[in-house]
This record gives sequence, C-alpha cells and structure tokens, in this order.
Amino acid sequence: MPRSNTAETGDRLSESALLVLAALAGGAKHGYAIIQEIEREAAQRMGPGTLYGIISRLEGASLIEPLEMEERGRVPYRITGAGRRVLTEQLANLRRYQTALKALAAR
Amino acid sequence: MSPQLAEFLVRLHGKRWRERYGTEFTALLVELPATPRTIADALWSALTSRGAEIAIVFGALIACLAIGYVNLNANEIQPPLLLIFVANAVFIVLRPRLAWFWMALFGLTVVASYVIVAPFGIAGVDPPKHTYEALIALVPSVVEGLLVLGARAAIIGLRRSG
Repeated sequence: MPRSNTAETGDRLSESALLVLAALAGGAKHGYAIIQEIEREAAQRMGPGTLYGIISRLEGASLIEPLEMEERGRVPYRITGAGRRVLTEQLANLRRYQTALKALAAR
Repeated sequence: MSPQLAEFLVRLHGKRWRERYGTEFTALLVELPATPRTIADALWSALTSRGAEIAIVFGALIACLAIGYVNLNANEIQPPLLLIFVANAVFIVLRPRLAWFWMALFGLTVVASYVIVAPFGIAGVDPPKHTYEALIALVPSVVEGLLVLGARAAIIGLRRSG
C-alpha cells in the first residue's frame, strides 16, 4: 500500500521545515544561503541550530540530500524527488486551508 | 562570529552530531554575527543533540531517588540491593565506559540517602548505628558491576567467535 507523502517525514512538516524545503526548491543552497533566502522572502530570522535540526530531520526523511563540500566547509543541500512531492502536497493543503478560512470568514 | 567561538559551540554537541554536521555547522556559525540569539540557538541545538545523554542522566537520577527511597523505607537490605543490581546492570549495558562510575554512584546512594535526609530529622526505618556503615553497599554494587561487565565481555566474545 503506498504511503502518503507526508508520512515520509513521520509527521506533518513544521512551518520552519516547509520554509527550508521551499528555499531549496529553487536550487541547491548551503546553510547561510538558506537563512538569507528565508529572511528575505519570509521575513524570518532562522537560527543556525534550528536550521540544522530541520536539515537533520529532512535528510533523515530523504526529502533533501547533501552535495559535495565546497570551500570553507560549506555543504549545499538539494531537494529530492520525494521532497518535491511533499512540498507540492503541503502547498496544496495550505491552499485548501486558505480557501476554507476565506469561506468561513465570509459567512 | 570568531572561529574559536564557533568551534566551542560545535564541541558542545553530541559526538555523532559533530561527526556528521560539525564542519559545515562551524562554517555557518563563522558567517553569522555572534548575537545572543544566535548563540542561544546554537546552545539549544547542542542540548537537543545530546538527547540520549540527557535521558541517561535523568534515568540515573530517577534510579538514585528510587534506591534512596526504598533504602529509607525498607526493613531489609534486599529491596535496595535489588534496585542497585538492576540499575547497575541497565546503566553498565547502556554506557559500559562509565561502569566504575555507575558502581560507585549506585553503591554510594545508600549512604547518601541517610546523609541527605538527616537534616530533616528523618532517619529511615532501619538505619545503621553509624552512617558510614552504609558504605558497605559499595561492595555488592562493585561485585555485581564486575559480574555484569564480565558477562557483557563474554557475550561480545561469543558473538565475535560465532
């Protein structure tokens, strides 16, 4: 029986994990670039420990994978096929949620 | 932040975590400003990366409390001894490198229980004439600990030969 995509993470993705996954959807990035991208696009300052906690969980769930180490010890990560599926599913859930909220608020 | 501070923060993490993410995490920390928030976030990461160690410390504390409580409330020596044996066996299997520490800790818990409750006017159900006599609990603790270590070594040897 096929598992749902979100089951790959063992649970629903947190908002911060979703941000990291979305930041990697546009291409491979190392930790500092992920933090900068999230700060620029979502106005959220993610701490280094928080980021690596998320990276560890996403990597454990095979939603992202590390690439070759670059200069100064930086390691870029890229989203996997499974990660992209989970991201798409989560975005669809958020859109459904938004639609439901709008409908409820309009009553 | 300075490489020295970054390396210090990385060293606070658990060994397995350091081996996997240490280099890249150091590289990231060096690129970030050393704000209190960043440092606190890295410290929290270090704490959570040591989840197993924290669980062991917490478990050992619970075991000590149980041994002490049972020792103060038992008429016989067998109940606290049984708890010492169980705690020794469990923690020696979990962290064999700390075997001597576990033997000393659980053995000394008996005498410690009398010392800790004495200021509150509690003596326990069947206290020794002199508190130091309770140090005798170290003997069975060490003997059983050594037996557990021996059994563990024998099992490992059998597995390797098999």
